[in-house]
Amino acid sequence: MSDRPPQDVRTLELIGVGKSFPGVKALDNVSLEISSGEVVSLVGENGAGKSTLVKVLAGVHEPDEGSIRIDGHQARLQNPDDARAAGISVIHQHFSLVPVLSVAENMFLGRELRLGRSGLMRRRAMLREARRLLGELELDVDPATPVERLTVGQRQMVEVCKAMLGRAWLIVMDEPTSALSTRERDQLYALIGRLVERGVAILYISHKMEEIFHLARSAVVLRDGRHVGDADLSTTTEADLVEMMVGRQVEEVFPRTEARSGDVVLRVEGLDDGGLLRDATFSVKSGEIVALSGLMGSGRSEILEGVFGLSKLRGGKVEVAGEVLEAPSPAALAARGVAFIPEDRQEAGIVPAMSTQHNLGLVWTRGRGRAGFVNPRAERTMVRSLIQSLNVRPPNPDSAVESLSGGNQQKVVLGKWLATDPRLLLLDEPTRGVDVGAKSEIHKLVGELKTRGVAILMVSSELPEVLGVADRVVVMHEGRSVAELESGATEQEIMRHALGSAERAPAEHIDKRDDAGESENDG
Amino acid sequence: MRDIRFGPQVVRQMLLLVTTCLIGLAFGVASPGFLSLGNFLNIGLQTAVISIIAFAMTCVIVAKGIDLSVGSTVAVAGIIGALTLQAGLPPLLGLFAILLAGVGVGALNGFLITVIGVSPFIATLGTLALGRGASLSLSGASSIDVGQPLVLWFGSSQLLGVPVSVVLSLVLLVLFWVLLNRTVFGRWVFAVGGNAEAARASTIPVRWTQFLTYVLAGLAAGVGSVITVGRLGSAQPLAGEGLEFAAITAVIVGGTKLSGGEGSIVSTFLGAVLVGVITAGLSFLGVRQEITYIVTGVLILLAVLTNQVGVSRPALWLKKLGRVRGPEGGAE
Amino acid sequence: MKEHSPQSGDDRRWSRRAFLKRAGMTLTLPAISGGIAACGPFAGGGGQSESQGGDEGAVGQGNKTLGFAMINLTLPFFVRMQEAGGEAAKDYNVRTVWQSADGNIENEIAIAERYVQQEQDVILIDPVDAKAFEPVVRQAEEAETPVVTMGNKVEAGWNFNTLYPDYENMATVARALATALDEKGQIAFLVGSRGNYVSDTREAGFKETIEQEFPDIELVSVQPTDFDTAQAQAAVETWLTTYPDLAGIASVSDPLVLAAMNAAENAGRDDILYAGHDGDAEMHPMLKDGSMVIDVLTGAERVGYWNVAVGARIAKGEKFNKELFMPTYFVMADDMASRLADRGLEVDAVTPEEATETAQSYAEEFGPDQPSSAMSVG
Repeated sequence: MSDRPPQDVRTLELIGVGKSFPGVKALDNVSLEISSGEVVSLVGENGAGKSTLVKVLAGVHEPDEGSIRIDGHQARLQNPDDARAAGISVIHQHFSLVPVLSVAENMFLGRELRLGRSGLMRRRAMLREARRLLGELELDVDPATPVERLTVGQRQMVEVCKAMLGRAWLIVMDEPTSALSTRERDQLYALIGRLVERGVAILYISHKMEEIFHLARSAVVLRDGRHVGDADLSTTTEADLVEMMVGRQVEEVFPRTEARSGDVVLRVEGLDDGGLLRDATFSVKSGEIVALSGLMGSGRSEILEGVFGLSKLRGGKVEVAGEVLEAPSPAALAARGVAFIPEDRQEAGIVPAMSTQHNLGLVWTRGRGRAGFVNPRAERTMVRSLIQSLNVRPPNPDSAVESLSGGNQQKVVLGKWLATDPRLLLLDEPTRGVDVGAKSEIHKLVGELKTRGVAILMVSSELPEVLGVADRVVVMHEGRSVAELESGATEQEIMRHALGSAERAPAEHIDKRDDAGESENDG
Repeated sequence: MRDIRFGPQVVRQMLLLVTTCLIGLAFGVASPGFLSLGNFLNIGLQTAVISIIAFAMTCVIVAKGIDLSVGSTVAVAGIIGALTLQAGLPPLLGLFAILLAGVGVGALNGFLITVIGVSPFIATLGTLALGRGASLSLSGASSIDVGQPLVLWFGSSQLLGVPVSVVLSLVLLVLFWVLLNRTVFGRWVFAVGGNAEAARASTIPVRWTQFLTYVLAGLAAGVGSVITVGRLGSAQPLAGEGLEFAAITAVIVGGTKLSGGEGSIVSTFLGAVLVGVITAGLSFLGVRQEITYIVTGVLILLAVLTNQVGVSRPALWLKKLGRVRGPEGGAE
Repeated sequence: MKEHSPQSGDDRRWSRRAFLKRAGMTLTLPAISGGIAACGPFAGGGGQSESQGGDEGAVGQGNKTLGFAMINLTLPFFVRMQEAGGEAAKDYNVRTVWQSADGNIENEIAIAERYVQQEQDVILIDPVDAKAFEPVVRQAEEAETPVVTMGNKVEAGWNFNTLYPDYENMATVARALATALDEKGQIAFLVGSRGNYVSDTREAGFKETIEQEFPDIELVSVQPTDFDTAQAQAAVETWLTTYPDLAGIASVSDPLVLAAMNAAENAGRDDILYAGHDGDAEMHPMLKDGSMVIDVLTGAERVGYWNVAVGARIAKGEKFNKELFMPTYFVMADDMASRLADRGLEVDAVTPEEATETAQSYAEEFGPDQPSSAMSVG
């Protein structure tokens, strides 16, 4: 097994690549070039088409337009095997390792060393090979350890080794540090350095400006599936790069609606779910949009789940319209006019096999019929008016929701709750994965609700969205609410707080929480 | 306007109906006496218990579960009912005892699955064996005579020349249809099976809904047990053998998918009738039992295949062939 | 007996028969109170077939059809029964249809219901459970279709029951064993399974006779075995240690006797006397060497031929009592018979050689030339 660095320089070129899905142009005229021994960064907002591009490289999707050249020759990546054969390996956010197998067994998965043509494995030879490669990459991992005992960072290293064993010369890393500790992240940087020395090319996908500028020589910028340009990172500033990524005029996509805010509808204090969420305190008034911002894993979504009773809270207080809820449950919250629109549409939003009508009626029907019966005519009327006001396409109540586009599905998820006339709307990534047109429609809708006096709490990873629509931004860092910014704040301000580099403002209310806790205990 | 939700179901129902008629006609030609009112009533009689249990099984399967224990529940409920009657309880209480025993097994299944978290297959496989063992040991492995006319009425009498059990199965067809299509609970069953996470996020009590589907299955097994006791004039510890297979077959031939979220009571009923007609017809022709098994197997596979490709969603098949992914794959 | 252990495998019929009985018990469990195993015909698992009696296009009273609703048609016992039944159909010039319910009682009832619908001339049922078949018998009565229930008494008024004089036979078996033991000492009894009509009847015949007529004989244990030879052997092993003075072992079925003999041989006991039922050929050596006192001949082929014969005769209008008892034969070696006669017990028995002959000559015994009276005893 040769794991020696490939001597000759290899090159991958994408030329004018495009890829369409029904209703969405996911990639449009994207070109990219990467050669052995360099780190190129792929940047863009969520939904810009990065994942689709990765899938094209991994052989999952074949582009409809343009061409792929490897070492100057036309190449087709029709399936993952083609990609592997071409020396391209993708390290996903979700690992492809088998937890119960050892490190060595995982590295050799699918290409086990065998005794001749028999099915017998040369276990010791594989262990020896694995140990040698791990040593060369200076990784302190015992190849005989089962993968399930490794940390997330170590698993990632194993993934990289597995790729190297497969003679990959191009490794695509998709948000590799999102789940890593600082120490593990530094180890990964070191590993990337060694790989580059060995002539490996790295296509590095990340949101984090700091990483991009630290690691990469140049960046390919995508926006809405289009290739907006390449940036030489030695000459480009962080702000310029963000400009390129966001590009469009934010106001068009995220129209701000003015409304007078009223009474406090939701107040949370010291929320703690015993996991990612440690301590969050803020409030939302009627006619106001509050955005929760922060890095992935900072506890944003956990706040919504905790408030809505989908996860158990360890500590803290949830107060809806002045009423303290001892044990929030979805039914109790729904009864108080709270609506929750979850992040993952496919996973928690729609019931794909059910019709638009039945999806829209999911919450509405409860308690509206007599003796548990649905009143089909009333439901139909409600659904028709919703479909119209939401502009759901196609406007057919009986079409299966799975046949709708992502944006229309999201409208249905919204509509399901609008049918119940909520006073507080919890939105988790309301526009993730929908195209620009649907984004602005959804926000127009949210704006209408706002003018009708609905209180809206929104989680979004897209800073332009946060800045565009929110009246206030609560920034989360490592499970704590660290800052509250009025509208008009800049991305940099938010990022500074989100990265934890701002001054420790929230110390104040941590103390407050502790006081409250003590007095509760005393009482 | 495209009609995606109801289209395939209606198509399938027409297909089942036409197939049943054609096959019935063919048997009629091949074997005189097949196309007679008496024989139709016989087929109804022989299919009644299967249909009733298949209705409840449809609910269970739509909610993404499975219940293998229905057959032995029929036996154990009958034995418990017969024992209470033997102990001198009035016939009405005996009837309730049978139904209650069925509900009890269903609740046990529901508890194991929704509270303890055992997988439906394993949990009901366990109660299947448990029920069979319980009915054998409670009865001393022999049948128990039941003489009370009220108890026997459901399985042995006729209303205007139609067996009561057939009437009962038609009544339950309507009731189950209403339950699944016109009640909030029915909506929940579809939502829970179609996407439990979304259902939970829509404040639907997911586990409670699943629990109730198993209780329904137990109750249906209880009703089936009442009919079986009436039909056999006794409670048999080995009654209902293979009933889970027959009921699940009817559900699948009716086009309900084991992956949950989709299904129709009417289709299940038609599926049960089709299987009943084929079984009776083959038997009329004197075909061997092995052949009947083979035909049933082929029928199940055909049903599954048409469900995946032909009737409902040809696009899905094409997508799979072409390795094309849906729009979700396109966005991050 | 010493040289004839069941494991010796020198007798093909033994192993075949043993398999039948073993499988029979597995299927008796499903069939519970069916008339399986012992001589008890009919119970068990699957298949179905049809046989045409008489020449093609035969005239006369031919083309009457007998429909058999069986619980099982694949076990050797039923295969042999059906084969002999086919010969009878030919001899009697009738058509027979055999359908198996594959062990499922609801199925078996459905088959019987279809026969009523198809207007079969006679329906013959091997009832897994006596009570469960009363409704379908009444249905046949309305259609005026004669029904014969085989081996298990269904009390529905309309049907004929083809039975065996089990109670009387086992009473005689009890007397023979007791007399051979000089009417004293400890004995034990292996039965099939409780709730099985055949096993229960034979048990009653044996037990009541011992209790009423032989006060000095102590019946120390009656053990149900589910017709399983392994269970029987285990039971006998226990007995031999618990009751060291055990002098005799009887059973409702020959394979269980063989299991008992095997256990005794392993324990070094060659002084025990045995008595059984079924008339299996593999018992003949033990009858001859005196270790087995008496056996009762029934036989799968005889059962099959007899039932078809009875059905055919009913189809052709012969009149019978509602209960018919198949002629059976006691099998005893000559010297054993004379020894018992010396002690005052006369048993009308055939020798093992004659039994072999009789088991194969069912066609003469129950053929069309015989009078109606030959179809039943008592």
